[in-house]
Amino acid sequence: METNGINSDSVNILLAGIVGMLLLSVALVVFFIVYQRRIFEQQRIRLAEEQAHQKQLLTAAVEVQETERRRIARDLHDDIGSLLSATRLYLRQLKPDSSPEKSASIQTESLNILDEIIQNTRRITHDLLPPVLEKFGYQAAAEDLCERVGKSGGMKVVFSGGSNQRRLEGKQEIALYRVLQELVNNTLKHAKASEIEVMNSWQGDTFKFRYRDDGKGFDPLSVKSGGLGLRNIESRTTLVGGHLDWMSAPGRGLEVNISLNNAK
Amino acid sequence: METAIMILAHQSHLDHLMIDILDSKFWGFRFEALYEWTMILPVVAGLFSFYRHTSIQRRLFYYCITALVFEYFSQMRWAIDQFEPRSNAPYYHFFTPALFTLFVFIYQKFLRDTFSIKMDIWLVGSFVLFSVWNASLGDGLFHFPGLSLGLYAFVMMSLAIGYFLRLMMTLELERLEREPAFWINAGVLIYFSGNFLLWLTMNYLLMDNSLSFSIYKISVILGLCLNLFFTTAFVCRPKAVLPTPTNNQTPHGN
Repeated sequence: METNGINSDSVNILLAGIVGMLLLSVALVVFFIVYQRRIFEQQRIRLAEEQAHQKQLLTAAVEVQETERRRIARDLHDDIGSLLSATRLYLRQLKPDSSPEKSASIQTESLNILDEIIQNTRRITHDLLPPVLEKFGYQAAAEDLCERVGKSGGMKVVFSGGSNQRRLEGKQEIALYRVLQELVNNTLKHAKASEIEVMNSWQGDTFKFRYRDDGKGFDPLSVKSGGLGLRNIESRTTLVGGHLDWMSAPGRGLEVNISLNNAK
Repeated sequence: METAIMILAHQSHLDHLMIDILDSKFWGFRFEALYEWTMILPVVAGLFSFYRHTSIQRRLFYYCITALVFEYFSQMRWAIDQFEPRSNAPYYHFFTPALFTLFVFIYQKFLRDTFSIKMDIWLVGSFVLFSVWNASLGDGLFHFPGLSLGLYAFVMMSLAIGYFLRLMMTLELERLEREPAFWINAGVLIYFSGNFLLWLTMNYLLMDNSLSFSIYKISVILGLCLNLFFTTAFVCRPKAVLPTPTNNQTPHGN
């Protein structure tokens, strides 16, 4: 059908085309709004999760600090404090009119207690910051720790330090040493393991640490956020710019992998 | 086969209904004037918010003022009488590249990290040359500049889609409804995609005067929507965004 030279079919096609393009453009705008909202919602959820995780790590860091303080206070109070009190009691018995035998005995006892105080003070400071860690670095301190645990009996400890003796940054060395202490402590206390394996190596500028025990392991899902011990380890690792991975399953022990970048 | 005939009959009925709705008699007033009258809305909104305009709102304001002046001028009896035969088509051949330039001036803000100023100059220069060719050898000076407007619509649709894609990739805006840029682009995309085919075929449709006037009311409705979107772009207050290190201002002109 044609009117004034215009085909009605072509008008129909034109109208359909106009309406089609119009609907397409409206759909595009609506799609964009919906898509953008959804992306932002996902970002918000991810951000909230990250914040919650950071909060957990911060709590763990504070808890670690408090535990350390309590331990130092207990050591000072129980060991040094009581020994100093004992020394004071002995020295109070020392009088100008005391017999030479009694004076000599008091002096001997006091010197013995003072020796014990010196030894305990050395032990406490060693626990806080082993001199070998400060002097020779993490690798030597870790080897020393493994050797001591191995010698104490009941468990085989395999240490592998690699040939590269490059040192980590000071704070990274301390953090990694504390992580190793915590892991060894956990294995000794809970894992019922017969063997511990500690491996350290350099891959370019990345320091790789691997800890493995053949203990009873645990179900990661039943331990909320990996338990306080592992959270402390993660907190320490994250604070020095490291990355932590761990895996465990009932009967399959525990494996912890840490990589530290920007090492000097 | 029968089903196909039934569908065609049904579609034809819908098309007739659509043309009836587009007819002025259906509304009881001069429908074409609706676009011209509503052009005042963004200008008034722009005037009221003049002192808190972002750079994009200010550029849009210049565009709205220019478009309003052009539209009213081209409808003046005196202006139409200047040509023999009487026509306002020659004015549209001039207005189209002018309005295109102003739109590129606005989009220069949105997509400045994608298009350099050289690219904008090249775009405007090419469009002006095309419009000159269209007025002299294409549609002709005394005919509706369908080809120029078709190209205009195509470029604007591309720019608006480019803006949305850029926004989807960078995710720099969260509250879209508070951003003038969003309203401008949504209006531009809907207005030009609806008008694209219409403008391209307008000279063909003008063979039947009453039919073309009926169909052209689609453009009037889209123009009304565009004016409402632009008015919203002036009314909304964008959230202040800190300047990014690479640019002095955000692409949203804050």
